Order: sequence, then C-alpha cells, then structure tokens
Amino acid sequence: MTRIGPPGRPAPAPSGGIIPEAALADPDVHLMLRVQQGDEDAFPALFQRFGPRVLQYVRRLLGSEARAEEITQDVFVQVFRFRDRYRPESRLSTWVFTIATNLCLNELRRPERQLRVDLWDRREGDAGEPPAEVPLPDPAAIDPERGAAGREMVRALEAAVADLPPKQRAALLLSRIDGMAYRDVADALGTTEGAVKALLFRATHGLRDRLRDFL
Amino acid sequence: MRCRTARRWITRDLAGELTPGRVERLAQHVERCEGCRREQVAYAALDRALGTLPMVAAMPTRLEQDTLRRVRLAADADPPRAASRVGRWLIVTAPALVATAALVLTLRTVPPAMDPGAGEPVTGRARGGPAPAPSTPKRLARRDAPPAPPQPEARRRRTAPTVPGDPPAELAARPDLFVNLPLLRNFDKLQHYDAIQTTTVDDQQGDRSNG
Repeated sequence: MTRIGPPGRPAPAPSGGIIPEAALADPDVHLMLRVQQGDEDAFPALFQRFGPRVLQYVRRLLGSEARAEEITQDVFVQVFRFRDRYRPESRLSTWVFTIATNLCLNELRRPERQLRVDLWDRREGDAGEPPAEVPLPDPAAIDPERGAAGREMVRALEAAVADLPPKQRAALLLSRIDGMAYRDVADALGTTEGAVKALLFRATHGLRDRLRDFL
Repeated sequence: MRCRTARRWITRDLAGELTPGRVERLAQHVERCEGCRREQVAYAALDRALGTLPMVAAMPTRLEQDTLRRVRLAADADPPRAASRVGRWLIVTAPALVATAALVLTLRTVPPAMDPGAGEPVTGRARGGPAPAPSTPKRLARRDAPPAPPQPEARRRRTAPTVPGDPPAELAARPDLFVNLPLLRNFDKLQHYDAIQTTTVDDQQGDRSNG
C-alpha cells in the first residue's frame, strides 16, 4: 500500500481511504484524484476519456438518441457532484458505469417512457445505410456479397441487443466495455457475480437464437 | 460433463472467466460432443460479431459544452471545498457556543445574588421561567434569614431590575384599592356565559317548527 502525505502518518486519500499501489498506477485513478483535489483541468480530461463510451453505452441501453444525451450529461454531473465518494480501490470505469447504469435503469422504469416516441430511433425494416462508424464484422471481407451480409448481420445484432431485457442488455454491454470482469459488472449492476453469469448466459443464448441464420 | 453445463461454460470461457481446470474439462467435452462443438463455434462467431459493435460514440461538441457548463454550475453551487466540513460544524455548533458564552457572562455578571441576605434577584422564575439550579437551596434558606441589609448602590445597579413581590405597606393596608383580579380574569367567561343564556330551548324549538 502506498500512502500519500507526510511520512509517519497514515495519509488518507481525499475520499478517506488509503490508496492501493495498483490504483496509483492507473491513469484514470490519477485523473479522478485530481478532480477530487479541485484541479479544474482534470474534469474535461475525464469527460473526454469516458464521455464517448458512456454516450454509446447509454444510447444502446436506452435506445433513444435524445434521452441518451440528457442522461450522459446527468452521469457526468453526478460524477462531479459525488466525486468525493469515489474510492481508488475500485476502477474508475466501474464507478462511472455504475452511475450510468443506475440512471439508465431508472429512466427505463419511468412509466411515461412507455408512451414516448423517439423520432430519432431507427425502426426495424427502415431503409437506409447503417451509421458510418459501424465497421464490417469481418475486415477481411472484400467481395460485396460478404460485405452486405456482414452489414445485415450487424444490423440484426444491434436489433437483437436492443430487444434484450434491460438488465441482460446492461450486463452484456458492460461485459464488453473495457474488458470489465464479471465482478465489476456485478458491482455496476448492484448484484452478485452469480446473477451476472446467469444474465449473460440468458443474453447470449437469446442472441444466439435470434441470429441463428447468421451464425 | 453434461451438455447443459458445457454450454454455460462456453460463454464464460469466451469472456475469459473460466478457471484453467474447467477450460480443460470443457475442451475434453467439446472434443467428444458434436453438438457442443457446433455451439462453441456459433458462440465464438457471436462473440466476434459483438466485438465489432462500436463501443465508442462520436461525442457531439454541443453535448460536451453543455455537460461541462452544467458541471461548472454545480461547482459554483458547491461551498468552498476545504472549508466545507469545518463550516458545517461551525453552523451546527455556533448557536450552542453563543448560548454557552452568554450563560457564562450572565453568571459572572449576576452577583452572588444568592448570598444569604441579598435582595431578591430577578431570575427566570420571576417571569415564569425555571430558576437556575444552583440558586434553589440558597433561596430556600433565604426565607428564614433576617431581612437583607441595604446593598450598596453600585451593587444594586449590577442586578437586573426587580419586580416587587409584595405591595408596599401603605397599599397593603388598603385592600379596597385593589381591583379584584380573579373577577377580571373570569370576565370573559361571564360574557360567554351570558351569550349562552341568550339561546334558549324555546328559541330552538321555535326555529324547528318554522323550518
């Protein structure tokens, strides 16, 4: 364990704990410690580091572009407001995505959401090109037929992921982010590792059934 | 190993969450089982497909600016960080500190009022409030004590103005000059009583018959 502060005295982190060595080696933790210490440049850097991933995660979890932007803002405002609650013992990405997951699940639980129609949402069967940022599943595919099949599969996969129950979707997306371990996914979802295993098994099993024609 | 277990382990293996021993057992099972081998291939393809989904979105500049603006507003709304804890304690304890200081000052300025023979000090008791605890035994003792000698002027000034407990002797000799206070206190009740008397049972019966 490494302690910060005058020698001879236990030096608590700004959040009150003692910072483990492994955490100090993590640049994200350094960034967050700077935020906790009031460094004004640290928060924009943190936003640039996590913002695009949080936005994509929230977008997939909510399935609504407009709400995704609002919730992403809320996530970072919460990160700032509760910055003192972050403990360097856990990964910063886990903490940030825990906040994002909670806000998204709350949003999905809101009853009025069931009545909301988002004009930005893509519907199944909509004509049009997929977003330019979606890469082909197989970069080695060079002939148009394989490329088209790959695009179709990506589209089917996006739709299948969007149709998963919220908790399964959250578990699946979290496990794909940053190589998050089951334990971290469990922390983010506020559940047990066993429950995460079950959620992920059901999610992948569901996707496997939906995409049987492609796999 | 049963196929059901093997299929559960296949997804965990792809996520790198299976222990080496189980990886070995799974490999042995898959080698023997054609169905599980097909499933493993399919899940691996699914895993690769999931890997191609972009996990990072292009961040709109407007969203970044809006978020940082909201964070700045939140920062402005925050009290100064360093002083926050001390400040919170001060807010909580300040009234208690002021009250304690006032009490100490009062106790130091009030004369040893409770000296035997001292004049009746004005305490909370005189206004209906509780009397300070230390004075109680002394006050009880004072009732049997002889009348207090006149106090020096300076000392009297330091005491709070007193409310006379008993009327002066000349007034005490003429009780007819006093208003009967109990009567005054009950005056409202008497008026109320009269008001009740104005409504009679006959009136109520008359109203009922008219209605």
